[in-house]
Amino acid sequence: MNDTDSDAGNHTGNGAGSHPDSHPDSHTGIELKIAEVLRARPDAPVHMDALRARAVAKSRRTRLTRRAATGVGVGLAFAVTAAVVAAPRLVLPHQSGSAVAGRQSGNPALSVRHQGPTTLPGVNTEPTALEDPSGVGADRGLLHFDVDLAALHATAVEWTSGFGYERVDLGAGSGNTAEYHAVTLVVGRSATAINRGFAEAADGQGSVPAGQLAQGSPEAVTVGGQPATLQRLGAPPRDHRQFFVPGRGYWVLRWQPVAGLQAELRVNRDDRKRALDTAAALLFDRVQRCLSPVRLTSLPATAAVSRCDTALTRNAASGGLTWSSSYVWVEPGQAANTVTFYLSPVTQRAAHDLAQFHADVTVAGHQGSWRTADPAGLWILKFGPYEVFTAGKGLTRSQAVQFTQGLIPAGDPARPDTWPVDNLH
Amino acid sequence: MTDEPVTFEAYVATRGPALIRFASRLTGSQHRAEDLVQDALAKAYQRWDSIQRKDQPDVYLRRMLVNAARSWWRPRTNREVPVGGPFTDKADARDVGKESAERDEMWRLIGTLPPRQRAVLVLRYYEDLDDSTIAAILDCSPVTVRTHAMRAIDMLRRHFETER
Repeated sequence: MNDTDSDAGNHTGNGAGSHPDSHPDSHTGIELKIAEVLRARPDAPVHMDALRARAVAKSRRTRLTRRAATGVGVGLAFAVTAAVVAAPRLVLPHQSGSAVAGRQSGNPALSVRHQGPTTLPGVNTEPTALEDPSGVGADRGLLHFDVDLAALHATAVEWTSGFGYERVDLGAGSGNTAEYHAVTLVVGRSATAINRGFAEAADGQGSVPAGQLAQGSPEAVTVGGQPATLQRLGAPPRDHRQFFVPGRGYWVLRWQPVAGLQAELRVNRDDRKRALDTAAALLFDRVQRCLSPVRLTSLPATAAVSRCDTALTRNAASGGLTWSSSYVWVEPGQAANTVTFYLSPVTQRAAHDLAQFHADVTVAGHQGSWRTADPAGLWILKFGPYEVFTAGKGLTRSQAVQFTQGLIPAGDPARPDTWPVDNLH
Repeated sequence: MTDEPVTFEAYVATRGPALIRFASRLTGSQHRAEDLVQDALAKAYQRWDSIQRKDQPDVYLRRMLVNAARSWWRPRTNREVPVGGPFTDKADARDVGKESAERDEMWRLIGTLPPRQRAVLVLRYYEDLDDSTIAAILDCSPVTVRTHAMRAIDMLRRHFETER
Protein backbone atom coordinates (compact mmCIF):
# COMPACT_ATOMS: atom_id res chain seq x y z
CA MET A 1 0.00 0.00 0.00
CA ASN A 2 1.08 3.52 -0.61
CA ASP A 3 1.50 5.12 2.77
CA THR A 4 2.64 8.53 1.68
CA ASP A 5 0.50 11.36 2.78
CA SER A 6 0.76 13.47 -0.32
CA ASP A 7 -2.98 13.77 -0.37
CA ALA A 8 -3.12 14.92 3.20
CA GLY A 9 -4.20 18.37 2.22
CA ASN A 10 -7.02 17.38 -0.09
CA HIS A 11 -9.76 16.83 2.43
CA THR A 12 -12.96 18.55 1.56
CA GLY A 13 -14.73 17.66 4.75
CA ASN A 14 -17.29 15.64 2.90
CA GLY A 15 -16.58 12.41 4.72
CA ALA A 16 -15.95 9.10 3.18
CA GLY A 17 -16.66 10.00 -0.41
CA SER A 18 -13.77 12.41 -0.68
CA HIS A 19 -11.36 10.54 1.50
CA PRO A 20 -8.12 10.17 -0.41
CA ASP A 21 -7.43 6.79 1.05
CA SER A 22 -10.83 5.31 0.35
CA HIS A 23 -10.95 1.85 -0.92
CA PRO A 24 -12.46 0.94 -4.27
CA ASP A 25 -15.99 2.05 -5.13
CA SER A 26 -17.53 -1.03 -3.55
CA HIS A 27 -16.73 0.50 -0.16
CA THR A 28 -17.82 4.04 -0.88
CA GLY A 29 -21.45 3.43 0.03
CA ILE A 30 -20.62 1.90 3.38
CA GLU A 31 -18.14 4.65 4.13
CA LEU A 32 -20.78 7.27 3.45
CA LYS A 33 -23.15 5.44 5.74
CA ILE A 34 -20.53 5.29 8.48
CA ALA A 35 -19.96 9.02 8.21
CA GLU A 36 -23.69 9.67 8.17
CA VAL A 37 -24.28 7.57 11.27
CA LEU A 38 -21.46 9.14 13.21
CA ARG A 39 -22.55 12.64 12.32
CA ALA A 40 -26.23 12.01 12.95
CA ARG A 41 -25.68 11.43 16.65
CA PRO A 42 -26.97 14.50 18.44
CA ASP A 43 -24.91 15.89 21.27
CA ALA A 44 -26.05 17.19 24.61
CA PRO A 45 -24.73 20.57 25.76
CA VAL A 46 -21.70 20.44 28.04
CA HIS A 47 -20.71 22.95 30.68
CA MET A 48 -17.09 23.27 29.68
CA ASP A 49 -16.19 25.69 32.46
CA ALA A 50 -17.30 23.19 35.05
CA LEU A 51 -15.56 20.33 33.31
CA ARG A 52 -12.35 22.30 33.05
CA ALA A 53 -12.50 23.21 36.74
CA ARG A 54 -12.96 19.57 37.66
CA ALA A 55 -10.06 18.56 35.47
CA VAL A 56 -7.80 21.12 37.07
CA ALA A 57 -8.84 20.09 40.55
CA LYS A 58 -8.30 16.45 39.79
CA SER A 59 -4.88 17.23 38.41
CA ARG A 60 -3.94 18.91 41.65
CA ARG A 61 -5.31 16.15 43.79
CA THR A 62 -3.26 13.66 41.82
CA ARG A 63 -0.17 15.71 42.44
CA LEU A 64 -0.89 15.91 46.16
CA THR A 65 -1.64 12.20 46.37
CA ARG A 66 1.67 11.38 44.71
CA ARG A 67 3.49 13.56 47.20
CA ALA A 68 1.69 12.02 50.15
CA ALA A 69 2.21 8.48 48.89
CA THR A 70 5.94 8.63 49.36
CA GLY A 71 5.49 8.37 53.10
CA VAL A 72 2.65 5.83 53.21
CA GLY A 73 3.31 2.50 54.85
CA VAL A 74 2.12 -0.90 53.82
CA GLY A 75 -0.94 -0.97 56.01
CA LEU A 76 -2.54 2.25 54.85
CA ALA A 77 -4.49 2.17 51.65
CA PHE A 78 -7.63 3.14 49.91
CA ALA A 79 -9.17 0.69 47.54
CA VAL A 80 -8.10 1.62 44.03
CA THR A 81 -11.56 1.11 42.69
CA ALA A 82 -13.00 3.71 45.02
CA ALA A 83 -10.44 6.20 43.82
CA VAL A 84 -11.15 5.82 40.15
CA VAL A 85 -14.72 4.88 39.92
CA ALA A 86 -17.04 7.72 39.27
CA ALA A 87 -20.00 8.33 41.55
CA PRO A 88 -23.29 6.76 40.62
CA ARG A 89 -25.39 8.67 38.28
CA LEU A 90 -28.06 10.09 40.53
CA VAL A 91 -31.08 11.50 38.82
CA LEU A 92 -32.75 14.31 40.68
CA PRO A 93 -34.78 17.09 39.12
CA HIS A 94 -34.18 20.42 40.76
CA GLN A 95 -36.92 21.14 43.19
CA SER A 96 -39.19 24.14 42.95
CA GLY A 97 -39.09 27.06 45.26
CA SER A 98 -41.55 26.82 48.12
CA ALA A 99 -41.50 23.11 48.73
CA VAL A 100 -39.79 23.44 52.07
CA ALA A 101 -41.59 26.48 53.36
CA GLY A 102 -42.86 26.31 56.89
CA ARG A 103 -40.45 23.68 58.15
CA GLN A 104 -39.24 25.64 61.13
CA SER A 105 -40.54 24.43 64.48
CA GLY A 106 -40.74 26.43 67.68
CA ASN A 107 -37.20 25.33 68.48
CA PRO A 108 -35.17 26.66 65.57
CA ALA A 109 -32.52 23.98 66.05
CA LEU A 110 -34.89 21.16 65.24
CA SER A 111 -36.46 20.28 61.94
CA VAL A 112 -40.14 19.52 61.88
CA ARG A 113 -40.39 15.84 62.69
CA HIS A 114 -40.95 13.96 59.51
CA GLN A 115 -43.94 11.72 59.53
CA GLY A 116 -42.91 9.45 56.71
CA PRO A 117 -40.33 6.64 56.63
CA THR A 118 -36.64 7.24 56.43
CA THR A 119 -34.93 6.63 53.11
CA LEU A 120 -33.18 3.59 54.55
CA PRO A 121 -34.48 1.58 57.53
CA GLY A 122 -34.89 3.79 60.56
CA VAL A 123 -33.39 3.14 63.97
CA ASN A 124 -35.35 4.12 67.06
CA THR A 125 -32.84 2.92 69.62
CA GLU A 126 -30.01 5.32 68.84
CA PRO A 127 -29.79 8.99 69.88
CA THR A 128 -30.20 11.42 67.03
CA ALA A 129 -27.50 13.88 66.03
CA LEU A 130 -29.41 16.62 67.79
CA GLU A 131 -29.51 14.59 70.99
CA ASP A 132 -25.92 13.36 70.87
CA PRO A 133 -23.71 14.58 68.01
CA SER A 134 -20.81 12.46 69.24
CA GLY A 135 -22.45 9.49 67.55
CA VAL A 136 -22.09 10.96 64.07
CA GLY A 137 -19.47 9.04 62.12
CA ALA A 138 -18.85 6.64 64.97
CA ASP A 139 -20.70 3.63 63.54
CA ARG A 140 -20.32 2.63 59.87
CA GLY A 141 -23.77 1.15 59.95
CA LEU A 142 -25.57 4.32 60.95
CA LEU A 143 -26.55 7.63 59.39
CA HIS A 144 -27.65 10.38 61.72
CA PHE A 145 -29.73 12.36 59.31
CA ASP A 146 -32.07 12.01 56.39
CA VAL A 147 -33.21 14.16 53.49
CA ASP A 148 -36.74 14.95 52.43
CA LEU A 149 -36.30 13.56 48.94
CA ALA A 150 -39.88 14.29 47.99
CA ALA A 151 -39.51 17.96 48.83
CA LEU A 152 -36.49 18.14 46.58
CA HIS A 153 -38.11 16.00 43.85
CA ALA A 154 -35.07 13.80 44.16
CA THR A 155 -34.72 10.80 41.90
CA ALA A 156 -31.55 9.33 43.38
CA VAL A 157 -29.48 9.40 46.54
CA GLU A 158 -26.20 7.94 47.70
CA TRP A 159 -25.42 7.45 51.38
CA THR A 160 -22.00 7.00 52.90
CA SER A 161 -21.03 6.29 56.46
CA GLY A 162 -17.29 6.65 56.97
CA PHE A 163 -14.74 7.19 59.68
CA GLY A 164 -15.89 10.25 61.57
CA TYR A 165 -18.28 11.51 58.90
CA GLU A 166 -21.50 10.80 57.12
CA ARG A 167 -22.35 11.93 53.62
CA VAL A 168 -25.20 12.13 51.18
CA ASP A 169 -24.98 12.86 47.48
CA LEU A 170 -28.03 13.95 45.58
CA GLY A 171 -28.46 14.11 41.85
CA ALA A 172 -30.80 16.12 39.67
CA GLY A 173 -32.58 15.86 36.38
CA SER A 174 -32.89 12.87 34.13
CA GLY A 175 -31.74 11.85 30.68
CA ASN A 176 -30.06 14.76 29.00
CA THR A 177 -30.39 16.93 32.06
CA ALA A 178 -29.11 14.37 34.56
CA GLU A 179 -26.72 15.82 37.12
CA TYR A 180 -25.06 13.40 39.41
CA HIS A 181 -23.53 14.86 42.52
CA ALA A 182 -25.68 17.94 42.07
CA VAL A 183 -25.46 18.42 45.83
CA THR A 184 -23.16 16.83 48.40
CA LEU A 185 -23.48 17.14 52.14
CA VAL A 186 -20.96 15.95 54.68
CA VAL A 187 -21.52 16.07 58.43
CA GLY A 188 -18.86 15.37 61.01
CA ARG A 189 -17.55 16.41 64.35
CA SER A 190 -14.55 18.33 63.06
CA ALA A 191 -13.16 20.11 60.04
CA THR A 192 -10.80 17.16 59.56
CA ALA A 193 -13.71 14.79 59.41
CA ILE A 194 -15.50 17.02 56.92
CA ASN A 195 -12.42 17.11 54.72
CA ARG A 196 -12.16 13.36 54.88
CA GLY A 197 -15.78 13.00 53.90
CA PHE A 198 -15.24 14.95 50.74
CA ALA A 199 -11.84 13.48 50.00
CA GLU A 200 -13.11 9.92 50.23
CA ALA A 201 -15.88 10.58 47.74
CA ALA A 202 -15.42 8.68 44.51
CA ASP A 203 -14.22 11.80 42.79
CA GLY A 204 -12.23 13.06 45.75
CA GLN A 205 -13.52 16.49 46.56
CA GLY A 206 -11.54 18.42 49.11
CA SER A 207 -12.47 21.11 51.51
CA VAL A 208 -12.02 24.73 50.70
CA PRO A 209 -9.76 26.54 53.12
CA ALA A 210 -11.69 29.39 54.62
CA GLY A 211 -11.45 32.57 52.62
CA GLN A 212 -9.84 30.97 49.57
CA LEU A 213 -11.41 30.50 46.18
CA ALA A 214 -14.43 32.52 47.15
CA GLN A 215 -15.89 35.33 45.16
CA GLY A 216 -16.83 38.07 47.52
CA SER A 217 -17.38 37.78 51.23
CA PRO A 218 -19.12 34.92 52.98
CA GLU A 219 -22.79 35.66 53.29
CA ALA A 220 -24.44 35.22 56.67
CA VAL A 221 -27.57 33.09 56.40
CA THR A 222 -29.47 30.77 58.67
CA VAL A 223 -30.18 27.06 58.35
CA GLY A 224 -32.72 25.59 60.70
CA GLY A 225 -32.39 28.72 62.75
CA GLN A 226 -28.64 28.24 63.11
CA PRO A 227 -26.15 30.77 61.78
CA ALA A 228 -24.44 29.67 58.60
CA THR A 229 -22.12 31.00 55.93
CA LEU A 230 -22.77 30.79 52.24
CA GLN A 231 -20.03 31.39 49.73
CA ARG A 232 -19.80 31.28 46.00
CA LEU A 233 -16.64 29.61 44.73
CA GLY A 234 -14.54 31.06 41.98
CA ALA A 235 -12.41 29.22 39.46
CA PRO A 236 -9.34 27.72 41.14
CA PRO A 237 -6.11 29.61 40.44
CA ARG A 238 -3.18 27.81 38.92
CA ASP A 239 -1.36 27.38 42.17
CA HIS A 240 -0.24 23.83 42.64
CA ARG A 241 0.84 24.58 46.16
CA GLN A 242 -2.69 25.15 47.22
CA PHE A 243 -3.87 22.51 49.63
CA PHE A 244 -7.14 21.47 48.18
CA VAL A 245 -9.52 22.73 45.62
CA PRO A 246 -13.00 21.38 45.17
CA GLY A 247 -13.50 19.13 42.21
CA ARG A 248 -16.85 20.64 41.75
CA GLY A 249 -19.20 22.92 43.52
CA TYR A 250 -20.12 26.53 42.99
CA TRP A 251 -21.75 27.23 46.33
CA VAL A 252 -20.62 26.11 49.75
CA LEU A 253 -22.84 26.30 52.79
CA ARG A 254 -21.38 25.72 56.26
CA TRP A 255 -23.07 25.62 59.60
CA GLN A 256 -23.46 23.71 62.86
CA PRO A 257 -26.81 21.93 63.02
CA VAL A 258 -26.12 21.54 66.73
CA ALA A 259 -23.16 22.34 68.98
CA GLY A 260 -20.45 19.78 68.33
CA LEU A 261 -21.56 18.90 64.81
CA GLN A 262 -20.40 20.53 61.60
CA ALA A 263 -22.04 20.39 58.21
CA GLU A 264 -20.84 21.43 54.79
CA LEU A 265 -23.05 21.37 51.74
CA ARG A 266 -21.82 21.92 48.19
CA VAL A 267 -23.89 22.66 45.15
CA ASN A 268 -22.40 21.72 41.82
CA ARG A 269 -23.84 24.57 39.82
CA ASP A 270 -24.19 28.29 40.15
CA ASP A 271 -27.44 28.02 42.07
CA ARG A 272 -27.55 29.73 45.43
CA LYS A 273 -31.17 28.83 46.03
CA ARG A 274 -30.49 25.13 45.62
CA ALA A 275 -27.98 25.29 48.48
CA LEU A 276 -30.48 26.83 50.86
CA ASP A 277 -33.41 24.70 49.76
CA THR A 278 -31.43 21.50 50.15
CA ALA A 279 -30.23 22.49 53.60
CA ALA A 280 -33.80 23.17 54.61
CA ALA A 281 -34.79 19.64 53.53
CA LEU A 282 -32.29 17.97 55.88
CA LEU A 283 -33.64 16.06 58.84
CA PHE A 284 -31.35 15.68 61.85
CA ASP A 285 -34.00 14.27 64.15
CA ARG A 286 -33.76 10.69 62.98
CA VAL A 287 -31.28 7.86 62.57
CA GLN A 288 -31.21 5.33 59.77
CA ARG A 289 -29.08 2.35 58.88
CA CYS A 290 -26.50 2.31 56.11
CA LEU A 291 -27.02 -1.12 54.63
CA SER A 292 -26.05 -3.26 51.69
CA PRO A 293 -27.89 -6.35 50.44
CA VAL A 294 -25.00 -8.74 50.92
CA ARG A 295 -23.22 -11.00 53.34
CA LEU A 296 -19.51 -11.61 53.08
CA THR A 297 -18.86 -14.90 54.80
CA SER A 298 -15.35 -15.83 53.72
CA LEU A 299 -13.38 -12.96 55.22
CA PRO A 300 -10.96 -13.40 58.14
CA ALA A 301 -12.44 -13.38 61.61
CA THR A 302 -10.61 -10.09 62.24
CA ALA A 303 -12.42 -8.31 59.38
CA ALA A 304 -14.48 -5.18 60.01
CA VAL A 305 -16.49 -2.87 57.78
CA SER A 306 -14.74 0.50 57.51
CA ARG A 307 -17.17 2.28 55.21
CA CYS A 308 -20.66 1.76 53.94
CA ASP A 309 -21.94 3.26 50.71
CA THR A 310 -25.33 2.59 49.18
CA ALA A 311 -27.03 4.27 46.27
CA LEU A 312 -30.72 4.24 45.48
CA THR A 313 -32.72 5.59 42.61
CA ARG A 314 -36.10 7.05 43.27
CA ASN A 315 -39.12 7.32 41.03
CA ALA A 316 -40.05 10.98 41.31
CA ALA A 317 -43.67 10.29 40.48
CA SER A 318 -44.34 7.38 42.82
CA GLY A 319 -41.58 7.97 45.37
CA GLY A 320 -40.56 4.32 45.13
CA LEU A 321 -36.90 3.54 45.80
CA THR A 322 -34.76 1.03 43.91
CA TRP A 323 -31.38 -0.20 44.94
CA SER A 324 -28.77 1.00 42.49
CA SER A 325 -25.43 -0.14 43.89
CA SER A 326 -23.35 -0.52 47.02
CA TYR A 327 -19.77 -0.44 48.12
CA VAL A 328 -18.61 -2.23 51.21
CA TRP A 329 -15.14 -1.36 52.44
CA VAL A 330 -13.64 -4.01 54.66
CA GLU A 331 -10.48 -4.02 56.74
CA PRO A 332 -9.48 -7.68 56.76
CA GLY A 333 -7.24 -7.07 59.76
CA GLN A 334 -3.81 -8.57 60.31
CA ALA A 335 -2.21 -5.50 58.68
CA ALA A 336 -3.84 -6.29 55.33
CA ASN A 337 -5.01 -3.46 53.09
CA THR A 338 -8.60 -2.37 52.65
CA VAL A 339 -10.72 -4.50 50.37
CA THR A 340 -13.64 -3.00 48.50
CA PHE A 341 -16.64 -4.94 47.29
CA TYR A 342 -18.73 -3.25 44.65
CA LEU A 343 -22.20 -4.66 44.05
CA SER A 344 -25.03 -3.82 41.74
CA PRO A 345 -27.92 -5.63 40.13
CA VAL A 346 -26.91 -7.49 37.01
CA THR A 347 -27.74 -5.39 33.98
CA GLN A 348 -27.00 -5.56 30.32
CA ARG A 349 -23.60 -4.08 29.67
CA ALA A 350 -22.50 -2.42 26.49
CA ALA A 351 -20.53 -4.54 24.08
CA HIS A 352 -17.58 -2.23 24.66
CA ASP A 353 -17.46 -3.27 28.30
CA LEU A 354 -18.20 -6.93 27.72
CA ALA A 355 -15.24 -7.05 25.39
CA GLN A 356 -13.05 -6.34 28.41
CA PHE A 357 -14.36 -9.31 30.38
CA HIS A 358 -12.06 -12.26 29.93
CA ALA A 359 -13.20 -15.16 32.06
CA ASP A 360 -10.11 -16.69 33.60
CA VAL A 361 -11.20 -17.68 37.08
CA THR A 362 -14.16 -19.36 38.71
CA VAL A 363 -15.50 -18.05 41.99
CA ALA A 364 -18.10 -20.14 43.75
CA GLY A 365 -19.21 -21.43 40.39
CA HIS A 366 -19.37 -17.98 38.77
CA GLN A 367 -17.12 -16.85 35.96
CA GLY A 368 -14.75 -14.09 36.89
CA SER A 369 -12.20 -11.95 35.15
CA TRP A 370 -9.03 -11.01 37.00
CA ARG A 371 -7.90 -7.56 35.95
CA THR A 372 -4.49 -6.10 36.58
CA ALA A 373 -5.32 -2.50 35.63
CA ASP A 374 -8.01 0.07 34.88
CA PRO A 375 -9.22 -0.89 37.41
CA ALA A 376 -7.41 -3.82 38.97
CA GLY A 377 -9.45 -6.45 40.72
CA LEU A 378 -11.78 -9.37 40.36
CA TRP A 379 -14.78 -8.73 38.14
CA ILE A 380 -17.75 -11.05 38.12
CA LEU A 381 -20.46 -10.09 35.69
CA LYS A 382 -23.06 -12.37 37.18
CA PHE A 383 -22.70 -13.50 40.77
CA GLY A 384 -26.23 -14.68 41.01
CA PRO A 385 -28.36 -11.55 40.75
CA TYR A 386 -25.40 -9.22 41.26
CA GLU A 387 -22.48 -7.85 39.40
CA VAL A 388 -19.48 -7.82 41.72
CA PHE A 389 -16.09 -6.18 41.66
CA THR A 390 -13.56 -6.90 44.39
CA ALA A 391 -10.49 -4.71 44.63
CA GLY A 392 -7.82 -3.53 46.99
CA LYS A 393 -4.31 -2.19 46.93
CA GLY A 394 -1.96 -5.12 46.71
CA LEU A 395 -4.85 -7.58 46.64
CA THR A 396 -3.77 -10.80 45.00
CA ARG A 397 -5.92 -12.88 42.73
CA SER A 398 -6.11 -15.70 45.25
CA GLN A 399 -7.10 -13.30 48.02
CA ALA A 400 -9.78 -11.75 45.85
CA VAL A 401 -11.17 -15.19 45.08
CA GLN A 402 -11.01 -16.21 48.71
CA PHE A 403 -12.77 -13.05 49.94
CA THR A 404 -15.42 -13.12 47.23
CA GLN A 405 -16.33 -16.77 47.18
CA GLY A 406 -18.30 -16.44 50.38
CA LEU A 407 -20.42 -13.58 49.05
CA ILE A 408 -24.12 -14.17 49.50
CA PRO A 409 -26.76 -11.84 48.06
CA ALA A 410 -28.96 -11.10 51.04
CA GLY A 411 -32.40 -9.60 51.34
CA ASP A 412 -34.73 -8.24 48.73
CA PRO A 413 -32.97 -5.51 46.68
CA ALA A 414 -36.28 -3.64 46.54
CA ARG A 415 -36.66 -3.66 50.33
CA PRO A 416 -33.78 -2.23 52.34
CA ASP A 417 -35.55 -3.30 55.52
CA THR A 418 -34.63 -6.89 54.60
CA TRP A 419 -30.92 -6.21 54.17
CA PRO A 420 -28.59 -7.55 56.84
CA VAL A 421 -27.42 -5.25 59.61
CA ASP A 422 -24.15 -7.16 59.81
CA ASN A 423 -22.49 -7.83 56.43
CA LEU A 424 -19.76 -10.04 57.80
CA HIS A 425 -21.66 -12.70 59.68
CA MET B 1 1.53 27.24 12.92
CA THR B 2 1.43 30.15 15.31
CA ASP B 3 4.07 30.50 18.02
CA GLU B 4 1.61 32.13 20.34
CA PRO B 5 1.24 29.91 23.40
CA VAL B 6 -2.22 28.54 23.90
CA THR B 7 -3.37 28.59 27.48
CA PHE B 8 -5.04 25.54 28.93
CA GLU B 9 -8.18 27.53 29.54
CA ALA B 10 -8.33 28.79 25.99
CA TYR B 11 -7.74 25.34 24.57
CA VAL B 12 -10.49 23.79 26.65
CA ALA B 13 -12.90 26.57 25.74
CA THR B 14 -12.30 26.21 22.02
CA ARG B 15 -11.57 22.52 21.63
CA GLY B 16 -13.26 20.97 24.63
CA PRO B 17 -16.66 20.45 22.99
CA ALA B 18 -15.01 18.79 20.00
CA LEU B 19 -13.13 16.43 22.30
CA ILE B 20 -16.35 15.45 23.99
CA ARG B 21 -18.09 14.83 20.69
CA PHE B 22 -15.15 12.70 19.65
CA ALA B 23 -15.12 10.76 22.92
CA SER B 24 -18.87 10.24 22.78
CA ARG B 25 -18.51 8.49 19.47
CA LEU B 26 -15.68 6.39 20.79
CA THR B 27 -17.61 5.24 23.84
CA GLY B 28 -21.23 5.53 22.78
CA SER B 29 -22.08 7.57 25.86
CA GLN B 30 -22.11 11.29 26.49
CA HIS B 31 -21.56 10.79 30.19
CA ARG B 32 -18.62 8.49 29.72
CA ALA B 33 -17.23 10.89 27.18
CA GLU B 34 -17.29 13.69 29.72
CA ASP B 35 -15.55 11.48 32.26
CA LEU B 36 -12.84 10.54 29.80
CA VAL B 37 -12.31 14.08 28.62
CA GLN B 38 -12.13 15.32 32.20
CA ASP B 39 -9.51 12.72 33.06
CA ALA B 40 -7.51 13.44 29.93
CA LEU B 41 -7.58 17.16 30.57
CA ALA B 42 -6.52 16.57 34.18
CA LYS B 43 -3.44 14.73 32.97
CA ALA B 44 -2.75 17.28 30.27
CA TYR B 45 -3.02 20.13 32.73
CA GLN B 46 -0.01 18.89 34.62
CA ARG B 47 2.25 19.18 31.61
CA TRP B 48 0.43 21.73 29.53
CA ASP B 49 3.39 23.96 28.91
CA SER B 50 5.27 21.07 27.39
CA ILE B 51 2.29 19.82 25.40
CA GLN B 52 1.50 23.08 23.73
CA ARG B 53 5.15 23.72 22.96
CA LYS B 54 6.23 20.35 21.61
CA ASP B 55 3.14 18.29 20.83
CA GLN B 56 0.01 19.18 19.00
CA PRO B 57 -2.58 19.35 21.77
CA ASP B 58 -5.30 17.92 19.58
CA VAL B 59 -3.18 14.90 18.71
CA TYR B 60 -2.08 14.47 22.31
CA LEU B 61 -5.57 14.68 23.76
CA ARG B 62 -7.10 12.43 21.15
CA ARG B 63 -4.44 9.84 21.76
CA MET B 64 -5.21 9.93 25.45
CA LEU B 65 -8.91 9.58 24.77
CA VAL B 66 -8.44 6.65 22.43
CA ASN B 67 -6.27 4.87 24.97
CA ALA B 68 -8.59 5.67 27.83
CA ALA B 69 -11.66 4.54 25.93
CA ARG B 70 -9.99 1.23 25.28
CA SER B 71 -9.27 0.49 28.92
CA TRP B 72 -11.98 2.49 30.63
CA TRP B 73 -14.26 0.72 33.06
CA ARG B 74 -16.61 2.36 35.50
CA PRO B 75 -18.95 0.07 37.38
CA ARG B 76 -21.64 2.60 38.08
CA THR B 77 -21.80 4.92 35.14
CA ASN B 78 -21.21 2.72 32.17
CA ARG B 79 -24.60 1.12 32.23
CA GLU B 80 -26.41 4.42 32.03
CA VAL B 81 -28.45 4.96 28.92
CA PRO B 82 -30.09 8.37 29.05
CA VAL B 83 -33.73 8.15 28.24
CA GLY B 84 -34.45 10.20 25.17
CA GLY B 85 -30.91 11.42 25.42
CA PRO B 86 -28.27 12.41 22.97
CA PHE B 87 -28.22 9.13 21.13
CA THR B 88 -31.71 9.27 19.83
CA ASP B 89 -31.62 9.66 16.10
CA LYS B 90 -33.09 12.74 14.52
CA ALA B 91 -36.25 11.94 12.62
CA ASP B 92 -36.85 13.26 9.15
CA ALA B 93 -39.62 13.12 6.58
CA ARG B 94 -38.35 10.14 4.68
CA ASP B 95 -38.76 6.47 5.49
CA VAL B 96 -38.05 7.12 9.14
CA GLY B 97 -38.58 3.59 10.33
CA LYS B 98 -36.25 1.77 7.94
CA GLU B 99 -33.54 4.40 7.84
CA SER B 100 -33.63 4.88 11.56
CA ALA B 101 -33.34 1.14 12.09
CA GLU B 102 -30.38 0.94 9.74
CA ARG B 103 -28.63 3.81 11.46
CA ASP B 104 -29.26 2.23 14.84
CA GLU B 105 -27.94 -1.06 13.57
CA MET B 106 -24.84 0.59 12.12
CA TRP B 107 -24.27 2.48 15.35
CA ARG B 108 -24.62 -0.70 17.33
CA LEU B 109 -22.19 -2.54 15.08
CA ILE B 110 -19.65 0.26 15.27
CA GLY B 111 -19.85 -0.09 19.03
CA THR B 112 -18.89 -3.75 18.83
CA LEU B 113 -15.74 -3.15 16.81
CA PRO B 114 -12.38 -3.62 18.49
CA PRO B 115 -11.35 -0.32 20.06
CA ARG B 116 -8.70 0.65 17.53
CA GLN B 117 -10.89 -0.15 14.54
CA ARG B 118 -13.62 1.96 16.06
CA ALA B 119 -11.19 4.75 16.77
CA VAL B 120 -10.00 4.74 13.15
CA LEU B 121 -13.56 4.99 11.86
CA VAL B 122 -14.36 7.87 14.17
CA LEU B 123 -11.15 9.71 13.31
CA ARG B 124 -11.61 9.14 9.59
CA TYR B 125 -15.31 9.57 9.05
CA TYR B 126 -16.33 11.82 11.89
CA GLU B 127 -13.21 13.87 12.51
CA ASP B 128 -12.31 13.66 8.82
CA LEU B 129 -8.61 13.27 9.52
CA ASP B 130 -6.10 11.87 7.09
CA ASP B 131 -4.38 8.60 7.80
CA SER B 132 -1.07 10.20 8.69
CA THR B 133 -2.68 12.25 11.43
CA ILE B 134 -4.62 9.23 12.58
CA ALA B 135 -1.38 7.29 12.67
CA ALA B 136 0.18 9.95 14.88
CA ILE B 137 -2.78 9.78 17.24
CA LEU B 138 -2.77 6.02 17.44
CA ASP B 139 1.01 5.83 17.46
CA CYS B 140 1.14 3.44 14.56
CA SER B 141 1.89 3.54 10.85
CA PRO B 142 -0.54 4.80 8.21
CA VAL B 143 -0.50 1.27 6.81
CA THR B 144 -1.83 0.00 10.09
CA VAL B 145 -4.49 2.69 10.06
CA ARG B 146 -5.67 1.54 6.66
CA THR B 147 -5.65 -2.05 7.81
CA HIS B 148 -7.85 -1.21 10.77
CA ALA B 149 -10.19 0.73 8.53
CA MET B 150 -10.42 -2.01 5.95
CA ARG B 151 -11.21 -4.66 8.50
CA ALA B 152 -13.85 -2.53 10.14
CA ILE B 153 -15.46 -1.61 6.85
CA ASP B 154 -15.43 -5.21 5.68
CA MET B 155 -17.23 -6.30 8.80
CA LEU B 156 -19.81 -3.57 8.51
CA ARG B 157 -20.28 -4.15 4.82
CA ARG B 158 -21.01 -7.83 5.37
CA HIS B 159 -23.94 -6.76 7.51
CA PHE B 160 -25.19 -4.31 4.93
CA GLU B 161 -24.92 -6.13 1.65
CA THR B 162 -27.73 -4.04 0.24
CA GLU B 163 -25.37 -1.10 0.15
CA ARG B 164 -23.58 -2.59 -2.78
